[in-house]
Amino acid sequence: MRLTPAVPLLRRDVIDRRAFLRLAAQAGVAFGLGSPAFAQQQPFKLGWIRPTTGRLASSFAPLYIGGLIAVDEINAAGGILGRPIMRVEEDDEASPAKEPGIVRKLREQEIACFVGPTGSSQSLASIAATTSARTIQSTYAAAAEAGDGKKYPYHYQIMFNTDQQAEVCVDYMVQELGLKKIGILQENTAFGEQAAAATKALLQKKFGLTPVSEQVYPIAAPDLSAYVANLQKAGADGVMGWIANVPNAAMIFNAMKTLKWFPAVAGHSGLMLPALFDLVPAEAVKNVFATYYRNFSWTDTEQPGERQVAFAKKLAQYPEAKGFEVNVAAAPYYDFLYCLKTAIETEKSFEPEAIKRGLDNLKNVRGLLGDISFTTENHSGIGEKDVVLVSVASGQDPRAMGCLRARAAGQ
Amino acid sequence: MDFDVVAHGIVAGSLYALVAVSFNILYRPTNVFNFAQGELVMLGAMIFASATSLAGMPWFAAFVATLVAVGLIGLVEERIAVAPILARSQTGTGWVITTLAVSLIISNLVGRFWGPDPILVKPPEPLSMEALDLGPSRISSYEIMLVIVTIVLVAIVESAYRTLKGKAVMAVAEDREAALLRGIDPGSLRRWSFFLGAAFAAMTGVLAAPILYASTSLGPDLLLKGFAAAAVGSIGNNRGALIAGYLIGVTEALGASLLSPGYQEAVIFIVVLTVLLLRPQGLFGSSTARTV
Amino acid sequence: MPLRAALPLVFQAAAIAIALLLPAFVGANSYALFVATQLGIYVIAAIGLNLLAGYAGQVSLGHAAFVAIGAYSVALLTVDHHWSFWAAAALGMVLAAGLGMLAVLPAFRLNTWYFAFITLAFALVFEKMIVEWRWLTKGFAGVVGVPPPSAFGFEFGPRPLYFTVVLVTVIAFILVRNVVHSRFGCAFVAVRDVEPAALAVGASPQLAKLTAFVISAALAGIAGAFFAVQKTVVTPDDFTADFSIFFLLTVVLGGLGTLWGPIIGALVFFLIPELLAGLQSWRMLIYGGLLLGLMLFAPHGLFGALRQGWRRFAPQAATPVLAAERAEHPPIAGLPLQVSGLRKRFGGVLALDAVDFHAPAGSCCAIVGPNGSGKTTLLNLASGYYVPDAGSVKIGRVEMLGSSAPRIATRGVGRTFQTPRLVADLSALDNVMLGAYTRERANLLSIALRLPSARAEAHRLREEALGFLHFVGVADRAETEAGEIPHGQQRLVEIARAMMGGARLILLDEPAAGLSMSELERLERLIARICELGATIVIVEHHLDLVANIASHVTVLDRGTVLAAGKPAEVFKDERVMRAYMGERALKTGAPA
Repeated sequence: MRLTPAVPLLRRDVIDRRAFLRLAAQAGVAFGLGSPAFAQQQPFKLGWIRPTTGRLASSFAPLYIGGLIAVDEINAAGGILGRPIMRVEEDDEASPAKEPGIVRKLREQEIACFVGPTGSSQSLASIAATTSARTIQSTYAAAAEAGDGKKYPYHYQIMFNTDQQAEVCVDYMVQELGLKKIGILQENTAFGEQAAAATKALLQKKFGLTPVSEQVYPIAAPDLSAYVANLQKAGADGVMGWIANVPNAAMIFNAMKTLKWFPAVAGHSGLMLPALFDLVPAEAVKNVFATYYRNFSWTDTEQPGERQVAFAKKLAQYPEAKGFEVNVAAAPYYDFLYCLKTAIETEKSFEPEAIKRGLDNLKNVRGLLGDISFTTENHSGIGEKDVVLVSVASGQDPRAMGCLRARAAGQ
Repeated sequence: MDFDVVAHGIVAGSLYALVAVSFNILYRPTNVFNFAQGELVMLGAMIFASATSLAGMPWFAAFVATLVAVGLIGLVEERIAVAPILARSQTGTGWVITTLAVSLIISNLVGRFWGPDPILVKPPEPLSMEALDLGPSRISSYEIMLVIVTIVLVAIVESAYRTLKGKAVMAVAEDREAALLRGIDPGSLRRWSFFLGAAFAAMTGVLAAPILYASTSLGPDLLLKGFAAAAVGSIGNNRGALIAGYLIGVTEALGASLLSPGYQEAVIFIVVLTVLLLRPQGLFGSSTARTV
Repeated sequence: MPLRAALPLVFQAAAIAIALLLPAFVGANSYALFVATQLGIYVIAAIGLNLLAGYAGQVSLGHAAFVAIGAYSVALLTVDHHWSFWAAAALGMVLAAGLGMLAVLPAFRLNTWYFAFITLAFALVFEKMIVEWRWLTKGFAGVVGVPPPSAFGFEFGPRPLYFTVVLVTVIAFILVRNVVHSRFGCAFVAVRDVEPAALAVGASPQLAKLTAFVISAALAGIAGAFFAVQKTVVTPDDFTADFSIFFLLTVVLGGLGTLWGPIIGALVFFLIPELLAGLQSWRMLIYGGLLLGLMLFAPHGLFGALRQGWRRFAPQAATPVLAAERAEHPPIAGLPLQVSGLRKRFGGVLALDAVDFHAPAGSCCAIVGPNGSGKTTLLNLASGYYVPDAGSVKIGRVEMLGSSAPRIATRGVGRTFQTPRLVADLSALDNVMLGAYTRERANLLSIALRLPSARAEAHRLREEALGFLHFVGVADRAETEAGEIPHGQQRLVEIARAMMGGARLILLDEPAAGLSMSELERLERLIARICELGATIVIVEHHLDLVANIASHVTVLDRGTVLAAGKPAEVFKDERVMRAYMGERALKTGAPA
């Protein structure tokens, strides 16, 4: 990025619709030519709820590339029980308000499996509608509530949840760094709410601490410096950043730079934006850590998993993923598609109830993100052992390859 | 009271005062309150950010180019959205809807061109946004300069009103027919008002960009707060706008620090409603007679 | 029945039939029914906005906030507190109207655009607050799982909900139609187009705006209540500024100030985005362009364009005279006007200085004087349009100094204006009926419900208004829009309006200006007849022949002071008067012209 008087905060080469269409066409050609019999099979339609317009489209739209890679791989290998996967895309504008209508629209086309939406608030609004419609769904929702199989029996959470994230971050802040004055900076979403609640509960339960300040900001706020200033004023020396979108994170770090205040920050994987390196002096980035997956991280002695490195290489071929590699890798969609395939093939049925049975019985499936297991009651598929804290600064390391990171000390 | 909060309130208030003055420049001779003014401020910030970062123009050249460009857009707005409406009825308020439509068009076109993400604009050398170490305050050199520049600008606008041309502006504002008799063409005056009002709005955007980021969400926010400053300070009164701008800025900053930054707009709204309920003409205006 | 009268009925019946038959063709869980229900909800809110923006001229740019209040009331009360939907919806309506009123109250005293701005600000602030008050509203994530309404143990599925929404839409349409056709509706239009006319008939503009606003906000609240149960999820993102603009565009597209406008607008609006799904991301840009284009080229929207086409296709037949001419009018007990020591200053100019003027009950007094002598100012002060700096204005035996124009009008003071102030969009008959604004007893509720008493009264007033049109001699124009009536006759309609208001003191501001010779004669006879009935008449006039013929007393004003007063014959002979006022003219033409 050039250092001109006006530095664009973010990379502007975001997802391009045409690129996606081109990809979809290529995929179609690939399986169409590959096996004529395969093409005659009725396609397996999958609802694909993704924002292509709206405020958050630039940070949320690319996150589906992992899912797209999985669709390509599965279709190239003959589909699920011989049926190719067909995506039916709907734009939710990353707005919870749009979800009920979209669920109706997709259900009307007799689609029984949904991928997305992204964002905890959007997801919870969507799940409320899909649960009564008995639609199998996996969303990009970290809120712990989304992994409750009793409440949402048809939704499957294939990513770390807010409880797991809070645990890793709190332990690191208090035990590893020895900080006692912790401030919380959360976005005003279901994710922010549940992450902050879990953080407060853990600080209290494990260490008897209360946060020195809790700042809740609306994601549409044009400027976040007032919130950062309040944290500084409260004397926080560690900040829990429950921030899940890129523009907000950029504004927060820029506010810290303006105030010349660089506390230790730990939080959501959304903090790992490459644009950060242009915004904050190198010494400040050293203090920033984010929750991530063991398989995608390295230490002095351990290397990232082979599949993950292969995935990183594949991802590098998608220009629209540039700048968002970590968030693409952390998305649940790649693993969800393979879980879906396994469940359908085990049950030999595309019926939602059968798929649910198959998914509920999954045990230790080796996914990209970790080992995935479900029970009828626990739909939070990732175990605690797979969640680690990584250094944001390691994004500049040549070993990072976009979506790999170095684990924080003691992880 | 926290000195730092007040200082930042004054800085923000200066920006609101500038938006209010840009409203006034346009309103006084035309009696049209431009609902697209916030978007013109935003457009100023965006064009300037692009001119300096993408085209690599020097600060001053980009500044002038931005003012002229946005001024011309204001002129186009007057031709397309205001003149035809006023030609139909002098007293109607159809322009409320048409200027709002212009604001929608501008903000969405800008969103198309620049995307939704904010752009960081650096202040001109040697000013900087880095906090100065001035005892209790963490104000930056750029912010200090902004406060001074605002006062100077208000003084310039006020003295312009006292010139011959300025008096003509007042004449039209008070009595259209009398102005016509004195050989002042209200149409040309209105075009100039839109050009200058829009250029002033663009200048506000350029000045605001280093503090607030250049982004599409700038428009509605500044529209609201600029209106608050203009209404509290009495529409048309620039010194009133300056003081009201400070008042709003400091109230907002105090609200943010005592309650939560999320309450900023609500606090301002309540201040405006209270003032308008007690003094409909604002704090610094006199009531005017009704006419048949 | 003639085609012209039958057509609206056919349309209404067809619209209702289509609405009721729709569920038979689509599935209960279909997206089509979901959208149709939503459409009905939007129409309810749009009907309210149209009453406010189209009829009362108050453009609300924050209607989404009032819908949000209704929606959140229902969502929070039914989900968290297990209220029944109906109770929650009723409270939502009250809250929408009440909270909205608190916010917009300061705006009613100010220029119209303040109202637009304050509603815009209210909506922006409210949107921020529903995000901020997480303890109440659950923040950005919103309230999920709003239960459907139920009654007598029966839970409303998608179909019954749809029928309920259709029913409420029809009720809202009828109520608003009744209000629009009543004195309230006419007063709204008067406030929108010619505020002085509203003041002259005793209608308070503030109260009219407030009434329109409360109805509008309550309809938005009930629309919000159904919005919550239809969507089942209520989030802050539902109620952005875009949503408010969407409502405004719906109304502007269909036709501001037309009854069918909001329905046509919502229908077109809903079909377009569904058909052009690919243009979704251009939506707001298209909204902006449409809004601008419509305001410039079709200010009355699609309905206005259709109506215009229809009129060209089937021109209006001449209206038959509807009532027999009434020979006798009951006598009027004239009110005396006593002005003393009146002073008024505009900026540096002393417009009136210590003016005394007396018009005994039942007399016809004239005020003459050169331009700028303060004649009209005197009328404006006497009728409450200006507040005097000093002095006394007694009407009857009551001191009215400083009273508002509507209050003075209610006391029995009618007036006309230099340029006639009729509501151009209303028929002559409606303009005259508006005169009875303060006399009509039926309240808003009985009018909206068209109770028999209200209908009987409206009918009686209509007959009476026709009688007055006969009296002034323009009954043949009763159904013509006032804007289309020749200038001279507009004056006569204004006089009829004043008489309809039960005026016992009538102030005429240059009634003869611009009249032809024959019109002048008719005016003279008319004034004489009104005088005979017993009303007091104060006439400001340049036309000295007219004054000499009808006035029993003349006051000459010059530069804000009384120059002379007395019988016309004496006053016109006064040398000072000749010099100051008539000298040149009298010499030039030989007779007053």
